[in-house]
Amino acid sequence: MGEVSPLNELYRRYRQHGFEFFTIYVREPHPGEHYGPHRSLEQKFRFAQDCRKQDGIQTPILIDDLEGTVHRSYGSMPNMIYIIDKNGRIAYKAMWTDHEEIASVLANLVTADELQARGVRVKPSYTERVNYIPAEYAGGLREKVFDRAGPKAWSDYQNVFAGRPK
Amino acid sequence: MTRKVRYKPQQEETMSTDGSNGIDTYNYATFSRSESAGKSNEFKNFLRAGDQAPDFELPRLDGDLMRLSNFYGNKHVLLEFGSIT
Repeated sequence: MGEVSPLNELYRRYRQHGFEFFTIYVREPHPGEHYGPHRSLEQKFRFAQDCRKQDGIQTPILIDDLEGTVHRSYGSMPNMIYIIDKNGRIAYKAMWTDHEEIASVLANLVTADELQARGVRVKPSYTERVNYIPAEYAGGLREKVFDRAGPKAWSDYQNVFAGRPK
Repeated sequence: MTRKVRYKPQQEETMSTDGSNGIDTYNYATFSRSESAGKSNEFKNFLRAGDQAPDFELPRLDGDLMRLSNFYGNKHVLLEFGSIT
């Protein structure tokens, strides 16, 4: 939840194969003492700078407006991934970053480009899947997110999920 | 063939009476249950693979503007949404 997972490796590998990657900086889903809710665009740019440094993001970062116009037009989840093909169609959407799955989608688009370059017609074949991931924070993510946000963020989170194991 | 899906404001946004255009609602100060419950189901049915992606223009950190549709016909684009917390 909350934080950006760098896709730097895939970005390095695929940018030479006709891809652009962007990280869109959106609202803080777990605001706290250190990083509170955005109240000005200037502040949002400043937080985005911090986000880039803290997560070592190498992809270009875009700053959504204060109202979250783009964030909301894509479904409002805090850590969504979309892959949009060169026809402007959504090739892939996910709630959470799965590097292997993303890699396979990127590889498929490269393959499709190669087929078309050889004159082979391609057509969409639909896939839908549900991934199962840990319901609780794993791998130190909880400490990372809430230490960065501040104590209020963690107590708000606990209030929402009261009774669930930490 | 593209299914048109429009953004539907959340109820609490349309009920906002403080004249803040929902900015304080979108940028809430306190994470609450309404920010969590049912959100993944909403996301599932919001935009579908195969749909035309909503176009947008946003500034980069350095201030240059990026328009999604400028890449059409030329590049595939991966968008990752994120934040600090």
